[in-house]
Amino acid sequence: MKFYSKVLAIAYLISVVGLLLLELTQFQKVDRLRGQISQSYEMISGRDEGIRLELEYRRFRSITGKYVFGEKLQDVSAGPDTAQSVSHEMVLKWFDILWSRVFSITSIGAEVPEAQHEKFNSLLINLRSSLREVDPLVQQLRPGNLIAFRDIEDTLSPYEEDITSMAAAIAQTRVERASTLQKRLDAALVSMDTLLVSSAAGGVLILTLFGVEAYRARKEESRIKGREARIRFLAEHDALTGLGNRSFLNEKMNRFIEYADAHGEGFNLILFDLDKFKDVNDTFGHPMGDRLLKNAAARLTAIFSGEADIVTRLGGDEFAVLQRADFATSEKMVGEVIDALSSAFELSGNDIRISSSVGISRYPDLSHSADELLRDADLALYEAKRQGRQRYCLYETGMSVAIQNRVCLEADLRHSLQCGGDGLEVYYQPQVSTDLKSGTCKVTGVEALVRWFHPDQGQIPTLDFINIAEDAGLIGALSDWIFREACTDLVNWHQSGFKLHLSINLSPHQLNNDNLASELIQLLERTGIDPNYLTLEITESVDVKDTRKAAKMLSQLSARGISLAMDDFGTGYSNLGYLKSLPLDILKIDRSFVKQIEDKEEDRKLVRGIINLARGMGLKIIAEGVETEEQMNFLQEQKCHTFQGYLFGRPMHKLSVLALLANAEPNVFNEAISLPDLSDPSMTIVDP
Amino acid sequence: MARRGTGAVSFIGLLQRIVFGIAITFFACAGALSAHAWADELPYPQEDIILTISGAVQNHNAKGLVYLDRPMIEAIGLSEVNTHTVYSSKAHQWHGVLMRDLLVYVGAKGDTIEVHALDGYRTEIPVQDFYDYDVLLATKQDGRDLSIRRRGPIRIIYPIDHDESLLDPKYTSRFVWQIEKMIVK
Repeated sequence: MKFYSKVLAIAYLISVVGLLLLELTQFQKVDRLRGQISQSYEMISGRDEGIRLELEYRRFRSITGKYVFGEKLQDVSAGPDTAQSVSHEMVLKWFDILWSRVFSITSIGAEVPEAQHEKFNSLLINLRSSLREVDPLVQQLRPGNLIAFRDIEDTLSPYEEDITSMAAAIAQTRVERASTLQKRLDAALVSMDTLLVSSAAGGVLILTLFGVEAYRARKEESRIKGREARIRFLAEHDALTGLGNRSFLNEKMNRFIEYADAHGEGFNLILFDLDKFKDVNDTFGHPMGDRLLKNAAARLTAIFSGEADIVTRLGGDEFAVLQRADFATSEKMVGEVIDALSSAFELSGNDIRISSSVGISRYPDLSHSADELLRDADLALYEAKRQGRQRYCLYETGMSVAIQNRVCLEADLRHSLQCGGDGLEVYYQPQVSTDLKSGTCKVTGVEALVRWFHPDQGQIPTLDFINIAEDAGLIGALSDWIFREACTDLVNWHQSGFKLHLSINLSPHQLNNDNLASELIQLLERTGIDPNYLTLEITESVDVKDTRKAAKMLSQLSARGISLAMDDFGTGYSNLGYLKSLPLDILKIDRSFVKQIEDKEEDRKLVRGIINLARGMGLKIIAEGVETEEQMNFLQEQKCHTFQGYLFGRPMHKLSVLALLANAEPNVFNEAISLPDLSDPSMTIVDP
Repeated sequence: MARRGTGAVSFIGLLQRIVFGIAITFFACAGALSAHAWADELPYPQEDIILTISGAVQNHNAKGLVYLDRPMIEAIGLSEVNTHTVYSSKAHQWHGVLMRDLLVYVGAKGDTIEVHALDGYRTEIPVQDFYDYDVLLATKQDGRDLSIRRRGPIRIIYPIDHDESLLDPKYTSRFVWQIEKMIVK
């Protein structure tokens, strides 16, 4: 194809150049001919004096003869009967005409061959003197005056031969010139023919090339247009679902804004996010995830099926809908979508359930530009997720501040974890056991609790930043960090001679980590901790995906000698079967029950029941949130001998733990509980 | 004249004016329509006739022809020009009438003039020439009346010294001398 067009281009150039040269030569030729033709015209036009001289010479002699002999003059044009006698005036007129010719003739030179110039010049000179000679005779000539006539004739007749030959020579020249002219004209016509043909050929060639080029350009253009349309479609649409993509959304959003500005009709931007879609991909693989997305898109478009509704996929599991409607209408449809998406997707025999969160922003009431719309819908979506997913939120003005703050904290937490836990501290809350023999209390363990002292905002409530860490996917890193810190501290205490137990909370995220067991065992080996002094606390959480797997993993740890405690018992969903399946050693009674045991009989019954249950299952009991001696006494009555709570000490810095242990010797508990300067710094605001 | 009843007088005056106006208009129209019938009768020549004009002429003096003698031609108005002719080697002072004046004088209605010479020479000249150039029908050369011997009595002179475009060879044949007849076509 390339070669072909090259050849075509070269052929085209050569033919154009050739044609130009041809035309140029033809033009030059025609120009030359034009000059020659005008020259020829000059040669044959008007310069016939030599021939006229002969005519006038003969005419005069003939008329003179007729006048003298009284003959009639035949006027050829007037017919034979109109004969006219010749008058003396007529003789004089023709003599004068001959005279004027002979005396003023100038152009003989061009008419005859050069060789005869001399001859004709002398002829003219002689003829002039002869005319002067006969002039008086002519003036006085009368009919019958034969002597005078003889004299005239004798004087003029000798010229006859020369005049005739001059006229003949001139006529000959004329004929030659005429034939030359004819030839030139013929040549000119041939040239004109060539010129016309080559011009026509050139015109045809150029027109053909133009036509071919125009045809090709048109084809090319339509091809490019088709491709452009396809590219534009691809650029504006998502290949998987066929929905528009982000750039399509942006364009449509600008249209909607223009329309809203012109007609005063507001619209909603609705962002859908499939909760935990990533888990579907991880569990069932990406092809399944893609099919789920397709089905989800179909359910979405089935509900937002209005002609003006714009449904787009922003990427991943995020969908966006533009709807020109009031909030109530959109709200109703959003509810339908959340319901529709939450019903199971049947894919290859699997029933996959998924929830969705929705954020809604509105133009022009709440947000005032395309960027704001997207940002605000995103914030509302964030809020919906924070409120526990499977719901929608309409953007509110306050959201941005709260969420920005959250985003800041998230970044700071991430930074802190990257810098080895800068600002983060592990605090320890003492666990106290009563010695049944001596009746004294002794610190037997601590529970590790994380605290964050933010450089600008002071201490961040633990629950808040744990939430942030969970949402931001930092919970794994945070848990690891706590583990390392706590284990290091425990080793130090053990080396100092204080044989404490350490309890650490396991997050649901960690329980979902298949490698938890091996990682923990590695950590134990590295730090040299005696596993018998380590307790892992878990909660009854719906967030544990595969309880069987988790139980198996915990059993491995248990086999190593690590104890397992159920934290916050009674506040979760309290599946006793789940309880049974785990290799538990310890049950921790939640603070909410302990708090009320002095006042409420129901709580006392509950605590009693829990303790009996634990004892029945062969589990140790730790009561949390013990704040008064009355509470402790009641619990002791119920044969619960291990406590945790402000009565014995708030969560405290590791150095305070050391001080407590050192001062508590010889383990008189009542002294130990009054250590005000070692209380939790979080309650007194201490700069870490 | 005493005025009586100004109103009636002015009315009659107006009527008279209208009638007069209509009459004028009528005569003007009639004059235009029948120009031929109203053609001028030219005077008859008193001396030897040296030029006969025939063809589409409106004014004449001999049954559709115009006979002219030297005084009649020169009475139309003499002009002069100093120029060479295509046949002469030196310039001369020519006197005569402008061809266009002559054509107006005879009321010529044509595009072309066919000119005949005494010796039988004949050529056609477009009337436009006479309006493009000051073409002279010369009667005198250097102050002397032209004779047949000096290519008279009348001849056509193009002012070739005054306009280079007249050097075109096509004008050569229009330098007619010894003119005898013109036919307006």
